[in-house]
Amino acid sequence: MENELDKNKAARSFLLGNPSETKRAELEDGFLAQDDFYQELLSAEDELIDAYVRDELPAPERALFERRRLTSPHLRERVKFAAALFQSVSKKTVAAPTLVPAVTVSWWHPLAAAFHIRSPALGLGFAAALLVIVLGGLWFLTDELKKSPAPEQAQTIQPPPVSPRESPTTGVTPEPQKPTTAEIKADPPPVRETPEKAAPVLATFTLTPGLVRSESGSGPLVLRAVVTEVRLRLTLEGEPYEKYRATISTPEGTRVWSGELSEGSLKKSTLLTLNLPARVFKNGDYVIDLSGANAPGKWESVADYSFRIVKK
Amino acid sequence: MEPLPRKKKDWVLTSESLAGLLSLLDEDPTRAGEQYEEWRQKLVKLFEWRGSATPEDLADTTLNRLARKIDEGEVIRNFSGYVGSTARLIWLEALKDQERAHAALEELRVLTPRSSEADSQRLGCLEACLENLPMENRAIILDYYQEERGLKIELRKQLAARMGVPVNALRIRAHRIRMQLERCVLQCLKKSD
Repeated sequence: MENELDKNKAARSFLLGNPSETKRAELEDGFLAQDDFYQELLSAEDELIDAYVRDELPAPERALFERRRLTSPHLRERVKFAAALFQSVSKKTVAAPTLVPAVTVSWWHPLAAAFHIRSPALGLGFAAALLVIVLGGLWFLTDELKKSPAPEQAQTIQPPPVSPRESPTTGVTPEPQKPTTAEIKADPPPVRETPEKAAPVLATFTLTPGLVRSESGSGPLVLRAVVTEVRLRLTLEGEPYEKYRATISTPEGTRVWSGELSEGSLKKSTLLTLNLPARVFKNGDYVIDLSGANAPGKWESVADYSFRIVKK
Repeated sequence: MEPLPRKKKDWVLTSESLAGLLSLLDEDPTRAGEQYEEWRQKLVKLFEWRGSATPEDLADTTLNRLARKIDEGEVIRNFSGYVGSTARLIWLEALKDQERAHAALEELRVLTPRSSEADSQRLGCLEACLENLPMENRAIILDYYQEERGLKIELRKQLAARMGVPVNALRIRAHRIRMQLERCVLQCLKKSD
């Protein structure tokens, strides 16, 4: 594993033009002689470009990359391509829920990983203890809410700004609005014009049912001012459904978004992804109610995801 | 009177000298042609990674230099090592040109405003190219590039497991599909110019 890391580090350093001339010549001879190594460098270059486009490079590496970009028309072209690719993939994610099937990761794994627990038994014990604490917290909160005056029923329902597919049962009458990215799915002409817009800045969060993401829980979802899209990844448990429907509401009952996720095969999925414009959210608490159906109209409650948005 | 020896700078690539280089790559002419193209691609990347503004030109210059050496009777035992050394020599020769190109590009960068129209066109081309990919490759690209930061590695591992291939093989496959897409986008942009 360390060798792998060293190799990655060396490849990145090489691609950024960091190594000494001797080392560079050595690596060049290496990739000229070995196709495998050459392929690795090509993949590493893709990843470097992606990291640059996603603003994930540390400042010194970013500066080196910028310098390279300046001198290389090829690299500039590839950077533009990567930016377009991410923009396009992001749209596709809005249009259809992302599927991550196959390897099923036990629900306690992320928790165990976070606390470096390797034994399943220990991990389960730890997770069970955490669950008790969380459930206790939720019970306490629910009890407190019951004591407070009943919240007013929502009188207005905001139209879904970006919806994979409007739920027919929500009764939402959206105001006329510009086509959202989810709706851009025209016929494939040779060149399809898309509205002019800057590349979206995504903030991705993973939500686990029953775990409240707030200041008191595992941390609120902090949205910086530059974020234009929020990607919510909902962890699924139990048997998957054919279709899913998600409704995002405030604790007061104001529905801010609703959508049906039924494209593609959801059979093996362990995560559902929702992409929403950041402007949907204000500072405050939200709940996602996820329902599932295996037959038309037979919706069952699947899970609730609670989180707090903090805009900075 | 004996003819004057031909100066190196007057040397031009002939079909005979090219055949000499190709025969060194493979006995079969078709395979030799493919190998030539692969070497050229590697050289393009070598110069690109060195920061060249004109990597294709330098790659061609290197291959021509190799053909000339073979034409002159040089015996090459370690071909890849020889290619590397020749390329580095060509690079040193080109450094001055590179500096000039750098200055020109800097000027270009200042003069050319960011074109959102071009970006939009590129995105349109990409969408069309994605549609034209075989369904399996399209799914790989969409899954491979969908995630960011922390979850990316885990999701790619899962994708590789689902496909029954090692992660590294998936990386290489994703790279190849991406290259195919990039070429398609470039062609589409050229057509729409």
